[in-house]
Amino acid sequence: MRRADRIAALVFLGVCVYGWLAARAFSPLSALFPRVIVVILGVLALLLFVLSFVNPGKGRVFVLVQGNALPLILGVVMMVAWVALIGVLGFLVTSLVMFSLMTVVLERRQTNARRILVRLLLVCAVTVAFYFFFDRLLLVSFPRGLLI
Amino acid sequence: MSELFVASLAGVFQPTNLLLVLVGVAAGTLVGALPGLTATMAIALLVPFTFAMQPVHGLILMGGIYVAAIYGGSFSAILLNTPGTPSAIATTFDGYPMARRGQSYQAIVTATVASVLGGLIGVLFLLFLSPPLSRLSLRFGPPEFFWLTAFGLTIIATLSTGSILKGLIGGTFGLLLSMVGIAPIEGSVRFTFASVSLQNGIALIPALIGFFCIPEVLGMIERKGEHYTAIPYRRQRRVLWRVLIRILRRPFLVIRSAVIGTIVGIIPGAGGNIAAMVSYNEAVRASRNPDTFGKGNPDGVVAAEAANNAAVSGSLIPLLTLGIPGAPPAAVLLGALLLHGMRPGRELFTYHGAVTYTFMLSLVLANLLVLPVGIFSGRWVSRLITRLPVTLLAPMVFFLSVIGSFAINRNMFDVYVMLFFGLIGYVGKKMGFSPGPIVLGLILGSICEQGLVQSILMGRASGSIAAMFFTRPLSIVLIVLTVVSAVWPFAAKALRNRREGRRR
Repeated sequence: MRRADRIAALVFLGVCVYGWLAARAFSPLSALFPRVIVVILGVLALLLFVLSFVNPGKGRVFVLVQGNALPLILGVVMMVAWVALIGVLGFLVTSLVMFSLMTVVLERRQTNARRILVRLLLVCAVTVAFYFFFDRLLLVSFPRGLLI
Repeated sequence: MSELFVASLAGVFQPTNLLLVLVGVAAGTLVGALPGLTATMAIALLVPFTFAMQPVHGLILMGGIYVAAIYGGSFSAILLNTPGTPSAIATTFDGYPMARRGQSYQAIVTATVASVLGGLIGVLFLLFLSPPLSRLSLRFGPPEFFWLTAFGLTIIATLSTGSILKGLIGGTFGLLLSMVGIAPIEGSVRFTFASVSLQNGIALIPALIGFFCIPEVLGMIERKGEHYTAIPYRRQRRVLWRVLIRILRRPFLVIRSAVIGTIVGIIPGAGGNIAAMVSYNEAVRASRNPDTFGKGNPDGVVAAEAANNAAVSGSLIPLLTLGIPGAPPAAVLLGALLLHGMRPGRELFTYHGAVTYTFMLSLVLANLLVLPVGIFSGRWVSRLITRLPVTLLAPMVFFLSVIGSFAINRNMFDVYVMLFFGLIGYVGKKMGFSPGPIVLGLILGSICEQGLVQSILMGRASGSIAAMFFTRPLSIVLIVLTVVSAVWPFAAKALRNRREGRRR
């Protein structure tokens, strides 16, 4: 975890520098609390940075992804795409497409076509049911897009 | 007061409320039993669904889920050796060895009875401690609120994560996040990156959904190759009766565990997992046969389960009276209360008294319903936890996260906030930064800042800022608690090292 701790400490120190500089534009009482917190966070981050050198070899090894990273990367990409596409295709179409895609992509390779078909039908039923519940019953108007 | 109590009691038994408690308990048991789904996540996802409900209905449903999800974690802890929720970690110590030697049903029944009894004792504390504490909250001024949040943050940091330093950094980072938007005093626009959407601050519910749900979704995807093999679960006759007699013959174990659970639950930030661990350690220390713990001693299951279910009500005591959540699921409940325009404190027990008492009394019913739901649905739940496909569950939770974060303000920006904090939460978790302290820092930030700045203004007006902070009686108590909680982990570690050094 030493390298991860150093990276985290540097990120937090960067946040502190930004926070301190940004606080110069605030009125005195609005700047008081941010400055106090930025100083405390800075001291703690510095301590984390120093301790990452003092305790060599201690702690767990930092692993961002256990085993095969591909499903996780695909998962993150699909989540980002899901959120980004809502504005273009609309909530219902995006949810149907991305929910189905995510289910199929994450499925194990040895699965059969029948199982996938059943899952896709389930996905469609769940998506449409939630859409109608919120959009029609609770009047939460979801973003519309190119199709619906 | 007594009229309100009786009216609320009648309210609990209205058909709609009964149904909601039952649905909450059934759903919570399932959510808790599934490894990877937590009580916090379930409640966070449910909040947006409740905004069209009456406040009392929403709270009853969430209360049922909270109670049952903490109990449900014991299923996978006992049958899979994998805690369904973090609160069930200590249940694995003796529950799984019991199951391995063919006593899976006894272990589940023991966990169920202990959860019910522990939960009921916890609710009694909630019912009798909350009203006087809410009256005491009227004596809290800005300096007291400042010190209370400081105390909460030191506790969060020391108890909720493996690393004290990382817990402190997480909590402080959460405080910094709470400052985004217009300052409560003097009104400067802070840390908004010129975004109009951020001027109202970071929306709490989307941030909560992000921090608590997205890391779990990504965790499910990461572990999707893992297959769980459950130890068979078969119902046997008269086990419930035997377990009940065994526990009630020595009531001290369950009472002590429930009291520990309630006290740990009250401490801001310390949830059911810490309650169960502390209670388990005390059960081992107090036992005449400490060597049998960890090898399938039912007392270990009783200690862990009674404590973690008592912690549910414990965590609601500071939430309802002071607005300081005792555990992450309670933090989400705070979001739900605010969504319905209910501010914690005295007002909750007077103006909203009917809703609050009905909610608290519904927890009694929820705890009682855990017994039949747990016993009769056990076989079905144990099958489901090994069969429900992660490939369907992960996208489903993400889909609900999108709906949940959008539905509150009907704003796509909140969905971006949810995803952003979700990804940060995942990476942070991998680096050892638990989302709990960050979220509690985010919630406590505005209370802490208002306390600090208003105290300074009051101090200036009265002639001494130091006197305002350090001489008020309640403040002194809170300062002592803050200092003790901040110094204690380091002092305990130093003492332990010295003791070990002497032994060598």
